[in-house]
Amino acid sequence: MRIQICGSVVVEADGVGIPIAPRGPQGTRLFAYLVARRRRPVSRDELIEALWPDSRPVDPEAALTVVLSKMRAALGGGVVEGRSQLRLSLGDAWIDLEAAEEAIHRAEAAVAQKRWADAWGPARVALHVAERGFLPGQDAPWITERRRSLEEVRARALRCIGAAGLGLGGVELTAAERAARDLVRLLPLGESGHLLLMRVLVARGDVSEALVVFDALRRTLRDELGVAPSAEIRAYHAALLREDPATRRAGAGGRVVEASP
Amino acid sequence: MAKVINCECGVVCEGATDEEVLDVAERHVQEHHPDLVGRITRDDLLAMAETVGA
Repeated sequence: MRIQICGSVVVEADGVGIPIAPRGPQGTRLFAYLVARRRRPVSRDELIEALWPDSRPVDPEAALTVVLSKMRAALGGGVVEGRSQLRLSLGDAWIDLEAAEEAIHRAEAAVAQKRWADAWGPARVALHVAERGFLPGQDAPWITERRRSLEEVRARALRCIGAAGLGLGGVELTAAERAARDLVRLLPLGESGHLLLMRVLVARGDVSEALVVFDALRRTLRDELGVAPSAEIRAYHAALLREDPATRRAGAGGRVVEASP
Repeated sequence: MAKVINCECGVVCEGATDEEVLDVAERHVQEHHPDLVGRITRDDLLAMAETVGA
């Protein structure tokens, strides 16, 4: 069974789709909640809170029973376990949310070991899943919390893609620059994205643009937080100004000898 | 079910089945990401894919 709960919710078995919630968002929301918490039983009260956080139906127990019954029928016998405490028995199902979390760990391990090509695939897995978003169009505190954690996965994936592209060099520098720019947009006060972008730009031979990036960061930090950039990024900036050959060793179109994540 | 992989380079790999989208994606990697040939598993490629049209 393959379960996609980021972006549109899709369940398929043997290549055939299983309609979880043909009549509305409640079934989708219930399914996603149970999938995301499949390792532990969930009480009916918790499910009611997850489904109707703001205004509850007149009889929430009955309404929950209706949604659950449809889900049991759609998924077939034995998948939805329990009555007062519920959980999904999904066995070895592939679940995109779990795949993203596993993949980002793999990507970060590969980057730490400078295995750039091995980092690219899992980093992309994490990014593709995270960018689809979690239950788009629906709102509840638990959905917001899940989205926040997915945004963290996205930022980590962008860092890995940037580092991997920088390490690989060549045509992958373009991807590295896109990832670094996305990271800067996602975390405008974050220094790691700016430093990554500066390194990539230098590797592409565009030192002046790297200096512009530093200047923009310096102004943003000053205006927003009243602080200066960290010693690490200031040292990199100073090396660029000194035209330090070690800092510029990637050269235009060349490969980077070392790339820091 | 139909799947799509939106490569970061802008190319969209589509297929009506898992095998189709994987074949398209692997050809794309060979042609446009030479440093990554043989380094991305089919499991990871499929994990990147979004199921569409459900």
